[in-house]
Amino acid sequence: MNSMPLGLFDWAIMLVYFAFIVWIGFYLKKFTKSDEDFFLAGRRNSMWVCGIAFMSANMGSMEVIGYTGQSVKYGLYAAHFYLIGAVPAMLFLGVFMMPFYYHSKIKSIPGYLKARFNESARVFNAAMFVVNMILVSGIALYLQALIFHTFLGWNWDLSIWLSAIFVALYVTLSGLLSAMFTEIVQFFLIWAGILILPILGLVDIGGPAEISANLSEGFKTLWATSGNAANNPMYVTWGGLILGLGFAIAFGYWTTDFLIIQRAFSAKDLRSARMTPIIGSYFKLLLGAVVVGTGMIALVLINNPTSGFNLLVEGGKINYDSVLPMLMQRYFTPGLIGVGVTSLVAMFMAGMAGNMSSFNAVWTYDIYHSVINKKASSQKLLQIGRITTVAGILLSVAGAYIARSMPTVIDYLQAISSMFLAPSVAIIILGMFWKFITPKGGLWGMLIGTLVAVLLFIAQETKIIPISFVIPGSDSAAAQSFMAANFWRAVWAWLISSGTAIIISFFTEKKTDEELRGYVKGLVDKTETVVEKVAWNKKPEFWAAITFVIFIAINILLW
Amino acid sequence: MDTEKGMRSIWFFVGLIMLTIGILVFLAGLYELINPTVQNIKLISLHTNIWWGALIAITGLIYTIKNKNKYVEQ
Repeated sequence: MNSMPLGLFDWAIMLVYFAFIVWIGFYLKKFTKSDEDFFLAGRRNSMWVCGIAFMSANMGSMEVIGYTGQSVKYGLYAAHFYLIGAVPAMLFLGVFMMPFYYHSKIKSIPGYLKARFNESARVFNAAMFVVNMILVSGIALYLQALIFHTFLGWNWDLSIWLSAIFVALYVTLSGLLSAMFTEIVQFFLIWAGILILPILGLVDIGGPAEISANLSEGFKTLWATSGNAANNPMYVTWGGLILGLGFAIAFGYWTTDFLIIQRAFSAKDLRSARMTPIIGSYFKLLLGAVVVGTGMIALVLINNPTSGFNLLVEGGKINYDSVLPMLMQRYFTPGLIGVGVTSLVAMFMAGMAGNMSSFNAVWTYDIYHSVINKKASSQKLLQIGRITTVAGILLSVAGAYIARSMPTVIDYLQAISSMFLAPSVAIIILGMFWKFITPKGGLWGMLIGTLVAVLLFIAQETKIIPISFVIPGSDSAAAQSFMAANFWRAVWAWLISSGTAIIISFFTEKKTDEELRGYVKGLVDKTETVVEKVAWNKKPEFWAAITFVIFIAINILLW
Repeated sequence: MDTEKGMRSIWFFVGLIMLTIGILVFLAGLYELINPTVQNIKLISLHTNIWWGALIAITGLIYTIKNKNKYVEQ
């Protein structure tokens, strides 16, 4: 890729942005006095602050750059990541799960597992989360370095280390408060940078009708070609989409990934906490329209030989991740290039800040305070939180070099989710809604589910088993799909975790109702979880119902 | 001073950064209009940086003015 011609105004925009972010970090340091300020942003945030930070933590560079590329590869099927792969799980979190999380005043998801099951379940889940976070942060750091390397022509090592230093600087300063503050500022900047792309793209190709006129059915429908995997570009059936993506992976990410849920824990009251993912769901739908729309516009341009638009080809392979930068090169004039590059950097910062602040919280509370130093003071925990940030970023640098050696990052990311998130969601949901599940059942369910998923992935990658092994009833087309294998691996991990937990619960000691009070549905003191009486149009259920209707309507309209 | 009143509202900061960046994009557009240097960019005749920059700046200005006296209590 040729480096983009950054002018004086573009550099000024980048400089202003970075100066602003560092200034915010110093400004907020004055307001971070305790460990609760550092990790939960003092629990004083409004639903809008939490909802936007929640969504911003999700809008990392992988989310936007990666999925725009996936839209070129898979057409409208990529929209499933924003629809069935997001909305139902986000609404379920807001409507049903948040009262348990919020009421228990836990500082992390492993903290909930300790309360519901036992210390071992907490430590195991924390360890899996930490591994997951380092792998994901490594990918984010690699993508950021890719932006510096390809846009600005900087060398790899400088790009990776400079990105790492920026993140270390401002997350260390003020923890979640700083991360959330920055995320909200970045949220607006990201929209300023990417919202204009589909607008210009539509003008360029001649309007939305051109998308429909130039693409085959498999690329422009959501479900019509999902009956037979061979008929759609993702090579996946509706079963894989609903069970794998819609249930096992989506619920794993949106309802148990502490990275994003932590934003809701910082809300000032339960209603705000419940509204957090529901507000996020509206932005998720909008983001899906922008990301998938931009990708499909690029697809129309690629299919038209006279457009002069092409993706990067490296080593004979198409680099789908280059869609967004290439479109920016096509349309962006001076000033806009500055906003575009800065918004790409902002996406990275949002993702990494989120990764690091939740990595902090889980390591400090669920591993350090729980296993290493049980008597640590609040000041000591604050100090450990800051040291952990630096250590986490150094490990992510190592992860970035590993990610650099991988052929694609999005498929790899979904594979990570199927191994480390699906078993957790199975056990958390079972434990939250069924008091029958015992501490040993929960622990062994998570452990066996994770182990089987990891072994399946290793066996598949080392060719001991074919990809089709994990895809039920797969034909030759489905057998080629790495993505379909990720979806189904998540389903198996979920089923094995649940099955193991249920079987072991028959033979092991249960916790008493009193011990489970507040952590299992039906055993919660109503006065503690019911939100204050508010008008019907302020209830989380009302706003969740509206998103759900929009979600159904989109699926029907684009069937 | 701010520490006594509490923490400034996040929306004030959002406004400030949007206003600054919007003005810079707008100025880049004006400069390009007077002194065209860019070639090979599609839809250059739309002068997107002028109107998009103005839109970002106006949004920023509204947020800044609306939230300049708002503080979060400690």
